[in-house]
Amino acid sequence: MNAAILEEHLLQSKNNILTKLHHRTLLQYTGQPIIFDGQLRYILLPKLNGEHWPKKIEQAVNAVAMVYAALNGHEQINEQDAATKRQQLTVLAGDYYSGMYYATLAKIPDIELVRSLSEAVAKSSESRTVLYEPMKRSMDEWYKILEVIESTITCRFLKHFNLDSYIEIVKNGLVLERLKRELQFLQEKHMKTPFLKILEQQQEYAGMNNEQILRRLISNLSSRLIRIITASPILQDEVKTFMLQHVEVNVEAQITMKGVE
Amino acid sequence: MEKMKLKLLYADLQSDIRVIEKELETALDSSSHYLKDASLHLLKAGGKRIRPVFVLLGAKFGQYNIDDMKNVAVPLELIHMASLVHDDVIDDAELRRGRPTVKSQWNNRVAMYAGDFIFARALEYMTNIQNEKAHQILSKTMVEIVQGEIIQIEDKMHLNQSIRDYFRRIKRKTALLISSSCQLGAVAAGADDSVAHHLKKFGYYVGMSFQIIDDVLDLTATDKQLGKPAGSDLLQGNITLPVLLAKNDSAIRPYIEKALSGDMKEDERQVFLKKMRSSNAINEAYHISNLYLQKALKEIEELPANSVKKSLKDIALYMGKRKF
Repeated sequence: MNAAILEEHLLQSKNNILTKLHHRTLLQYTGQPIIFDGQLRYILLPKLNGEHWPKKIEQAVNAVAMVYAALNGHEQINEQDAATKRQQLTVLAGDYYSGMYYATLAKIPDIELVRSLSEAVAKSSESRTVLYEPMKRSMDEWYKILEVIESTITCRFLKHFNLDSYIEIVKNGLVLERLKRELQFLQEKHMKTPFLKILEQQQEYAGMNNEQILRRLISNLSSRLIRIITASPILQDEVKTFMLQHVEVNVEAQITMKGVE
Repeated sequence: MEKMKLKLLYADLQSDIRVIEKELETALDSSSHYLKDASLHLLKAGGKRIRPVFVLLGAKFGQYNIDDMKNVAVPLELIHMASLVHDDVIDDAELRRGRPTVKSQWNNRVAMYAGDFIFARALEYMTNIQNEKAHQILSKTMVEIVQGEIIQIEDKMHLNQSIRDYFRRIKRKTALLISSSCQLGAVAAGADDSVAHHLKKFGYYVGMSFQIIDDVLDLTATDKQLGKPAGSDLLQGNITLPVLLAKNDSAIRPYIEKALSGDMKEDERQVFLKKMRSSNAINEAYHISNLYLQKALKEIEELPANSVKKSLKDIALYMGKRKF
């Protein structure tokens, strides 16, 4: 399968999930559910790599994507737009997608996966809250927290279906996707997220601005991920190439920015 | 005081309710300091724990075992709690039951995470129940409740809505979770389908009656009793049954319109409340609530002989007649 076919698979899956989450009012006021392409790429990595993919796993993927849609949606809530219709419905959109994930798994039924994903959502929500707590931690500890936020849900899904061999790639890949979004947010909105505020307080980044810190993190993580993917004994060559292309897009973006600077 | 009265009505369940309270504490324990504080804050705020009580009473019609039933009762209360935390973000509310809300004590984001955390914990508990039907009922209920809240936002400020719109809204907003609490207790305890069906209907009618009373009390109780300004529903654009019944009264309508425009001054609020309280709309709303209550009592008659039938009846009557 070449890259175009793999992209087509991803697009089809995304459209399928968006159709299942379609809600007229939510669409009108809050737009489509937010499922980042990068997130979906890592959730579906085993499928893209040709793993046996029965309907039950496909439905579970839908549920996992719904969880991400719920949590991504709630990340849009801010302090400024209190009680606007858009903000009110954004809260409810996340709750609706949460309910839909539970309903999807209850229908299969896969109650064990409900348990596993619920534990992951609880852990992820705890870690998201920790970003707001005024506590000093080392960079390694913050990295672990980010890893929990971004990847616990997908890792639980992979474990549930005995796809553990993908976990290392997925963990690193999902954190990289988050760092990429952090950088994009900084460049577009010129605002600091709680994670960036934490980063700039780390001694090891003294004297660096937010963009430089993110660039360094992205560069280091991209290099690590490239090594892991290249050396992976489970990934097919076309899939390796496809995944590396996306990682290298990140690296190239960093190089371009360095050039601009 | 009112809560004390309610507790007396299910005195036989007191030791089991203590188990539930303990489990709620365990369920809300967190490694995050903010979430731990927020959870403690919610637990201290109390609440009537009416949903767990209905789960337990429903379960008494089957194979009752508190160690199993806590796995249904706890999630029902947690789902209710989580939705309140998110509702406070939706309403930008500073106070609930006279206490600062999670969003006002921390911020909107932390409130969102707290709600998500509590929802997740609720489902974790529920997965201790290996009954597909129970999960399908609860998940459907959760989706429908949110759909009801979405409709509530769509209907906000629209004075030309019908009473049918109002009923559709409160069904999903309140009645469904109470209805499902009653039904899930019976389903999880393996009671007969017909028993679960009558309990479901009982819960639905009680929930409808309860919400109508709640909406009446928003206009008739004092600010102190409510822990927020009386008339808050209307001030936030929520059109409730008494307002729908009074909207064509020429002495009241200008005040309703003023409240919806966001221009109502304190002295005008007082006049509005006075006029509403002396209007026929309050009595009519009570009457409608009572009709639902009577339907609930009829459902109890359909249930097989069981000592908890009296508790169900007493609690329904309490909920339909409460003063605040």
